[in-house]
Amino acid sequence: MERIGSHQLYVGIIMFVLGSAPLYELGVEAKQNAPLAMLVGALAGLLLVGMYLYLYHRAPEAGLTELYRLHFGLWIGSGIAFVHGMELAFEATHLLREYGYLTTLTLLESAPGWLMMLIACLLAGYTVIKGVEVLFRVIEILFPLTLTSYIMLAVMLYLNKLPDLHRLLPFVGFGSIIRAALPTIMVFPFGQIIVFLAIWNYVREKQRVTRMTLAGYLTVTAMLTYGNAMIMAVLGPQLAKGSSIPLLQVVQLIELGGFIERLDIIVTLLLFFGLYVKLAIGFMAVVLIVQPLFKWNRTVCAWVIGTLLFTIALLERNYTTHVWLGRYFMNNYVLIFQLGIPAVMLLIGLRRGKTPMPAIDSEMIIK
Amino acid sequence: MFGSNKGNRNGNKSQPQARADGSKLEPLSPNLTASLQSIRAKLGNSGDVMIRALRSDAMPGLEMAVVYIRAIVEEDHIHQNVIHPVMGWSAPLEPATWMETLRQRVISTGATKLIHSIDDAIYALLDGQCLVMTNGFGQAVAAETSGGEMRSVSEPNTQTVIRGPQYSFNESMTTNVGLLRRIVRSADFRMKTITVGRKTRTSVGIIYMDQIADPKVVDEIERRINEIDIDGILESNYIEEFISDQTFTPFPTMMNSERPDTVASSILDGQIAILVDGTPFVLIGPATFFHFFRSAEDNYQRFDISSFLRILRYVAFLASMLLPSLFIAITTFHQEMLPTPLLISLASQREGIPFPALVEALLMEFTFEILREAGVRMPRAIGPAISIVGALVLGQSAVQAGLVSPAMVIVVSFTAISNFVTPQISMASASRLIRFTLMLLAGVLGIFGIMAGVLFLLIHMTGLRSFGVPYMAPFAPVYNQVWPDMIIRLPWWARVYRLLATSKVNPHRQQGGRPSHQKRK
Repeated sequence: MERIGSHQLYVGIIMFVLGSAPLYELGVEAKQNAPLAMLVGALAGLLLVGMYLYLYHRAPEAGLTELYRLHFGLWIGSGIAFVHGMELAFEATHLLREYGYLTTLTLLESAPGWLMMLIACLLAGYTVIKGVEVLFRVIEILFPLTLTSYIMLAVMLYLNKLPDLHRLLPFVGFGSIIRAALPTIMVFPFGQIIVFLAIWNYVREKQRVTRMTLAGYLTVTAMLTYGNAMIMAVLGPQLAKGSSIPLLQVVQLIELGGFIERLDIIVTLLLFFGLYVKLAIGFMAVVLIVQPLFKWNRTVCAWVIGTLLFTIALLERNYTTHVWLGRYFMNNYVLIFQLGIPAVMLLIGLRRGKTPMPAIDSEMIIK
Repeated sequence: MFGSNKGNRNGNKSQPQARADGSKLEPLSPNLTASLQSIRAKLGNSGDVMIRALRSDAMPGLEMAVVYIRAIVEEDHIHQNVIHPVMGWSAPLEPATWMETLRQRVISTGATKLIHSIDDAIYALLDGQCLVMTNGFGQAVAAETSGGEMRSVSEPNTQTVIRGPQYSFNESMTTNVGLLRRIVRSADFRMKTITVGRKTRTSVGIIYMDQIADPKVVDEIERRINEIDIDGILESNYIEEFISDQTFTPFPTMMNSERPDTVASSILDGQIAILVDGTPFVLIGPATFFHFFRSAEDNYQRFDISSFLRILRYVAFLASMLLPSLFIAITTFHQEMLPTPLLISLASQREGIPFPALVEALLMEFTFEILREAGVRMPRAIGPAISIVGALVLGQSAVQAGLVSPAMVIVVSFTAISNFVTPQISMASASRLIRFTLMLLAGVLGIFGIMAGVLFLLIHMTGLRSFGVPYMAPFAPVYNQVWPDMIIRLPWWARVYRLLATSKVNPHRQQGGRPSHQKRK
């Protein structure tokens, strides 16, 4: 069986949560207190992650499908797994669309969006076919590049004296912060860590999963909050709310020594890599969930899911629909899978208590 | 080589040893004339098969003959150590043990062997041994006399250094192993010999350090070489293509070197060297991507300049792969990325150029590749003509004629120069091929195309393995102890760990730590 190391898990969590999050100024409804909303969202997300980790430790060798089957029985469990798989597929589609929009917005105005989506889909699918190990190695390679680029951008913002910390004041009040954070920020990006329930069983050192996941979670929370605060401190609440990709707006303001300018291309590339990582992990999770249901091999599964993702991505009309659909979906359905079902599983688990889990039926785990 | 006869021959069906029972071998006839006849017949009555009849003083009535193939033996050696002692042997002897006496006491070459069948006799002859046959015995004594003309050990041609040993391997495996042995004087030095090739019966040697190299990898390499079943092995690339983990990749998964010091340092790092008789290029594996950017000279220069050069090589590799495509993408799709003065200068240069940037770049790149190929293939005497045509006609005149822009000439030549920086030619060639694909992608999709291409390459490379070692190690997966030494060259006292990232066996090269006289009191 393929195995990933604990460093790869740490980096994977960071890159996954980071993913497409810098595309948006999250918590902008809380105006200048968006960074605080981010923190509140992260805290709430931490509860979710704790719950997922608990579930993982109940059966460390089981994937998400097996977990559902263990808690709800073979048939209901499989049903839930299938529906969850489709829900994750929809989230992946959403990322795919973002790929298309981001390209047409920033790099190639006249190029057809479907071509970009096709390329992104093929790249992610290629990774999925190559397997979990390769996926996490790619992330491991991308991580230092991403980190260095973000740090460089942050330094250059300071060299340009762009951030004005006064723009983060005054305090808007707890009510609006919590309204902005819950459930939106908790669900995206933090709650999406639920896909790791399908991946954690690949980690070599079981006893380090919790530590590495939490370490990654804290690191990425710090990064996101800092980034969020920077955007707010440069743009201020009005501009941050108004622009379609605030981070790009910020970076376009950087101008050093007369020739370092137009750095938005770097940001675009960073966003691309982030989106790719998120897409590939999401894609992989869907494949890992669906695979035991139909007993297909990895390659067939990747082609079927990939075709599905691409077809659905073609259906959406425009960017406005995209944003609306994302929000509608996140607020109404995602919580069922991120909070509802895991909570039920948690209750079942607590009731069964210390009694050993029913032995995993060899029919139920296909490696 | 004599040692080769003990090698494992599973894959070589044409050889006598492959017949396990040995019963099908045609025995040597006790009649000398008859067996000489059949040996000559087997070899097609070739003119270079020498047969010399002789008699010994000890048994004047006994007809004997010495057989060898000219030019692959040292005839002086045969005269002195075979013919002369046999003729001059005067001690009384038992006729029944004559062959044993001949082998053990008379013939004074390094190695001797008794041979019973025609096929063995033929193979011994082809290996450069000489046969001593006696009438009345169904046996022959094979004496090791191989030799003949060989290029002497000379300066390396392709992997030169300014400081460091100035000699390289030659075409003889025996010499090459000797050169290595002279550097690594350790009892842990191991060599396994395998004969590969139905017709060429080339000796292939696997050299590694016991207690340092991973025994599983050694076994795996041996297994893969034994599986090869082909008529001829003429160069180490035959072996490389047969045994590397994946064929369909532009990236090499084994290094090659003609420098004994490079090979010695590799086997000390836990890698395994594969020597092939007949070529000075020795294969080294497992090799990860980052191994290809190390030059022997890194170890012989001060660590600061070595580190700088190593980083420079990575940058040059990226440039040689990406620069033309970036130029195409930026001038075609993303002009806004350039500072205005530069943009204006570029735009004015491109004024009146009849081709799109992609076509212009492809034209120039192809021209360069043709020039380069011509430079390698042409006879030495025509050299100056090519450089005149290349530099003057194709470069300067093409710009003056308004066919290409000067900026493009700069980009293409810089790319070309960058390509020569990579110490391993096989890796430099990979970037040449990838460059064209990326240029096409850049011409169609701009930066997005390049990014997609690079991402594809990254996925592909992280999926590669070299004898089980992940190709992007020690960065993906991360091996903490090793990775700093892949980016820079640490001072010698800080290089505690052997480089092969997965080396679990005996990973420490030295105790490590600052030398005592440098420690602060």
